[in-house]
Order: sequence, then structure tokens, then C-alpha cells
Amino acid sequence: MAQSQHVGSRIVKTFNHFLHYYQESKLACGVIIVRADLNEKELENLQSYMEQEEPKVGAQFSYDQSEGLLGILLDDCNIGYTHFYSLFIKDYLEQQGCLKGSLLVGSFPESSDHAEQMLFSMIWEMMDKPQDQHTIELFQYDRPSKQCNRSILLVDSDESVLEILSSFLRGKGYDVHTAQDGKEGLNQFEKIVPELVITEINLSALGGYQFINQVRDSEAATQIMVLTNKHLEEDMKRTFEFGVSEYMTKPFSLIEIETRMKKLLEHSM
Amino acid sequence: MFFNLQMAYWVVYGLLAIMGILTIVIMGIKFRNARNQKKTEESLQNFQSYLDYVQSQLDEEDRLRTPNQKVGDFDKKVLQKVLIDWIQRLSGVHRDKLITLCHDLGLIDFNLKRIKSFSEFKRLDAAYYLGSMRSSKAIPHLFKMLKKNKEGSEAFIIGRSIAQAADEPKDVKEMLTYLAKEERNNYHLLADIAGESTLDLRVQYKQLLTSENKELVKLALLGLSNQTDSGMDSNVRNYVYAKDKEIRMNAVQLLITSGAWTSNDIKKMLHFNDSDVRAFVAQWIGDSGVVQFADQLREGVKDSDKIVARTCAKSLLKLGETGFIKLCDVTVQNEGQPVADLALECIQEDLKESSVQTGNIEHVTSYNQKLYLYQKYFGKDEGLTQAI
Repeated sequence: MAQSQHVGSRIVKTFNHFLHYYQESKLACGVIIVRADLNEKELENLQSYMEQEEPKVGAQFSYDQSEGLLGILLDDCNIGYTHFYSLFIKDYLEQQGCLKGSLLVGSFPESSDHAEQMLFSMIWEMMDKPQDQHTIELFQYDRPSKQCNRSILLVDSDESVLEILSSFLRGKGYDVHTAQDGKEGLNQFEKIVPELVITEINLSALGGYQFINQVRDSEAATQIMVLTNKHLEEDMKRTFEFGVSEYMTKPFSLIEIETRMKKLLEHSM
Repeated sequence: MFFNLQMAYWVVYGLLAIMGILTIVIMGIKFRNARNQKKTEESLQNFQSYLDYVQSQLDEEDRLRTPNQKVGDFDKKVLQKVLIDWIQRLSGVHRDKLITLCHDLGLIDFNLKRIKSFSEFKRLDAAYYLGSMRSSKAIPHLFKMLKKNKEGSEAFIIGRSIAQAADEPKDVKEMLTYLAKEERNNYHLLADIAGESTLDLRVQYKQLLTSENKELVKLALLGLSNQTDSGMDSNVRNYVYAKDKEIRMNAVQLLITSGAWTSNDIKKMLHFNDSDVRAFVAQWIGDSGVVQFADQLREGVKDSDKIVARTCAKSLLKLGETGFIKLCDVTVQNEGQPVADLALECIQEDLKESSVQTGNIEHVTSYNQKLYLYQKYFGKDEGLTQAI
């Protein structure tokens, strides 16, 4: 426990009173935690590089040498800009050979309602991350929301659809799993038994209707939504006959799909 | 003999030379493709974090920012492919946000330069991207290209780009009129192309209804059926009686699906000379469950055309208990005639199909009701019961 209080203590000490101020005055701020290996000179260079690239932003830098963690606090920045700022940091550190792991990006109050607690959680999350990946990840604080841990399985052979939809839904706090054909979809379904399946009808290995049938036969309380390229009324009719709850065609609106999903999941609660 | 051998050597040398050249060309193409593939992968890797940023911030209010690193021409090609893949799959505000990003990345100007290239492939590729990015700036260039590509599928690619990029409905109408000029019966494809436009094309379609070009009339009838609140034009009613079968069928479909029909229209159409019209209307009555036309369907079972008669019987069965009783009446009242056989066959088929659908309580009660009525009319049929 004593050790746990020590983790990232330099970053916590430096930022604590600022975060307290943001929390009290309800002002926005962005936080980036990076695993990096820096000396004083390199840290100064990074600071001046960022001042040159993004001069309008008020940024505080704090480096905890014992943990190899760099903390950056951005004044009055939302999650969108903080993420954009982290792209510069990643590029620079990579070029200098100082980047030793991933970057975690969060913001108050978008990522968490408690600024100080958010910083603690971000540092802890960074400690658990493998050091061989140089990726930028968004911090997801476990807010007690309805979406948290609601599992969704996306089945579509179109990688772009899987990419856009899973990124959007993960951002909303859903637990998203993906599969590219009916067979893989069925395997995933049996493993996770999700609350909602969003599937295309045109699937390889195991056809869409067969996949839907098998999900239905499992007698799990899973809702099924079809997201398809098929625009004909006949397809829609046939799909509903298979026990599907929602039918949407591509191209699709992310807002519409989320609204329909929420409605379905509310009914399944 | 010596002369012929010499000739044979020359032919062999010639063939070897051609094979050599072809091998070099193929190797060159392979090498170029491999190099492009490698460059694409490198570029994607370079911009991966940026693309992750775009995805994760797509739902935020702020405008998406452009990358901090330099974006060269090759990178632009790679980025635009990824962004257009996403744009094509989305609609609404998120798609608009990505389109704005394409503008901010300078992809419009990049493609406006490419559309003037000497290479036809580059010009077509640029036209495709400019359409996908909804760039109205590209419209004059696209029309110029369209009029150069008088024939072939390229004209349809350019037409689609015009439909996507146009911010004036008159431009879409001009493109459609141009592509339909040859009357090659492509109106389904043209309606699909026009469907890419987000503009309200009702006025333009209504103008096209009066065109002398039959292709445009068919296109207008099809296009109006995809528009909400099409506001029935008197021309559409006139086309229900058109000599051209496709115009007639499209007008009937539009009149019915738009909901602008009167009871009189339906009754008249069930007596049209064209059996396809009669079958279409009978099918629609069943699918839509419009019970008020059950008596017309009962009469339709006696139609001289077997397809129409069968469609009427099947549609009656879709009207629930009322339809089922009417079909049983037909069977009983026409005993010994072919129409009674047809009606009974349809009833028995329906009972067999219903017996399989016992998944939910509604199906079970509906099936029981039908079986009860069947036995009331025809008594217990052991053969049928066994088959069920």
C-alpha cells in the first residue's frame, strides 16, 4: 500500500494543486501520461518543441524518473484537442528514441468527474500496460453508466464498418467484440454471449440468416440488429421473420444506430 | 530447305525477343506494384496514430485537425482512400465531418489538379474522389469530362460523381438528361445514380414526366417513387394507361406505393387488360393487408390468367380470417370447376405452411382458427391432417 501511494508521486505532486483548482472551479483540462526515458535536457527540448508547435496552449510537464513516466497537463483543453496534442508528443519522442511505451490521454470533465482521481487512475493504468506498444489510448473512467460493460458483437466482412463502428461504440463505453464472417461470429457469440449482436446478412463461411437462426436457437436473451447493404423490402420482411429486432441499411448514421441500440438494450434489461 | 531453316531461326529469335520484352514488362509491373504496396504500408503506418485520432474524435464537437507531419502527394492518395472508405459507409453529421476534413487536408485541390491529367485513369480516379467528397467546385470539370466520355461505363462513374457533388438540382437533371439521350434502357441505373444526390429532385422529376424521351419518363416515375410525399402529378395517372408496358407498370407502382390511389383506381386496375398490372395490384392488396378489397380478390380468383388467379387466392389468405372464409366460399360455390381446385390447393398449402410456424402463440392461434374453419367447410381430411 505504501508502495502504491508512491507510484508516479512526482507527477501527482506537481499536478495535484492544479487539478484541485480545475475541479473546484469546474474548468476543463487535458492529461497525457507517457512512458518515456528522458533526461533533463531532452525534457526541456520537448517542452520548447511543443511551445513552438502549439504556442497557444498552456502546458505543464512533469517527469517521474523512477517510474519512467511523463505527465503533461493541458490548460482548458478538451479530449479532442488533448488527443491531437498527444500526436505531436508521440512523434517527437519516437524520433528522439525516448518513447518506451504507450500514451494515455484523458480530460476533465469528459473522461472523469474527479480530476485528481482521474490522474491516479491514469498512472495506475499505465503501470499495467505492456512496454512494447507505442499506441495512443483514450482513458475510460468507469463511470456508473448504463453502457458500461454492455457487450456487443459486430459481425461484418467489411473492415471499414467494423473499424468505424467499434471505435465509436467503445468511445461510448460499450464492450465491443468483432468478427468478419458467420462462423467466427458464432464462435465469438458462444464465448461471450453478448447482449446485442449487430450483423450483416451477406456473410461468408456461415450465411447471415443461418447465423441469426443459430443465435436465436441458443435461447440467450440476445437482441439482434441487422445492418446491411440489402435495401429490398423483401429482405427486410424475411429478416424480421427470423426474429430480428431492428433493421438498418448502409450507409448508416452513427447517431441513429446508437439510438436504436439504446432502445433495444433498454427493453432487454 | 536451307532458306526455310534460316526463316525458322528468325521466327524463334523473334518469339524469344517478344517473350523477353513481355517478361521485362510483367516484371516491371510487378515491381512497381510491390513498391507501391510497400510505400502504401509505410504511409499507413506513419499516419496510423493520426487515423486513430480521427476515428476516436469523430463524435466530438470540435472540427477534426489536419496531421502535424507533412502530407506528400502519395500520402494524400493513401489518406483519401481510407477517408473515402469511411465516408461511403456513413451518413449524417459524421460523414459531413469527414468531408470537411478532406477539404482541410487539401484533397479537393489535389484531385482538381489530377482531373486535368493526361492519364484517363487518373482523371476518372479524381472524378470518383471529387464526387465522394461532395465538391461542388468540381462540377464544371465533371461535366466537361462527361461530355468527352460519350460512351461506356466511364460516363456512369462521372454521372454518379456529379449527382454526389451537385448542390443545384438542375445539374443533376442535366446529367440525367445527357445520359438518357441514347435511350439504352438504363433508367434503373440512372435512378440509382440520381439516388446518390442528397438534393430534393421532386420538381426535376415532375419536369421529366413531360419529356418526349421515354427513358426519362420511366426514370422520373422510378425516381418519384423513392421520394417522400411525391405529390401525385396528373401525368402519372395518365401513364397508367400508357401503351409502353414499362411506363405503365412504373406508373401503377408509383400510384400504389405513394398511397395516392382511390378505391376506384384499385378496382379499375384489377380489371386491366395487362395481366401483370392485375397480378401486381392483387399482390399489393395481400402484402398491405387492405381488407376492403377482399371481395375484388374473391372475384379475381376466377381470373382467366392462372398467375393472377393464384395471386388473388394467396393474397386473400394474407387477409386473415376474412380472406380465408372468402376463399373457402369460392371453393364451395364453384364445386367441380377448376377455380375450386385452385382455391382448395392454395388453402391446403397455406395450412401446411402455417403448421410449421408454431414458434409463437400468435402463429398457433391463427393456425388453429384456420384449421377450425377448414374442418367446418370441408370436414376432417385425414390425408391433410397426416400431411400437416
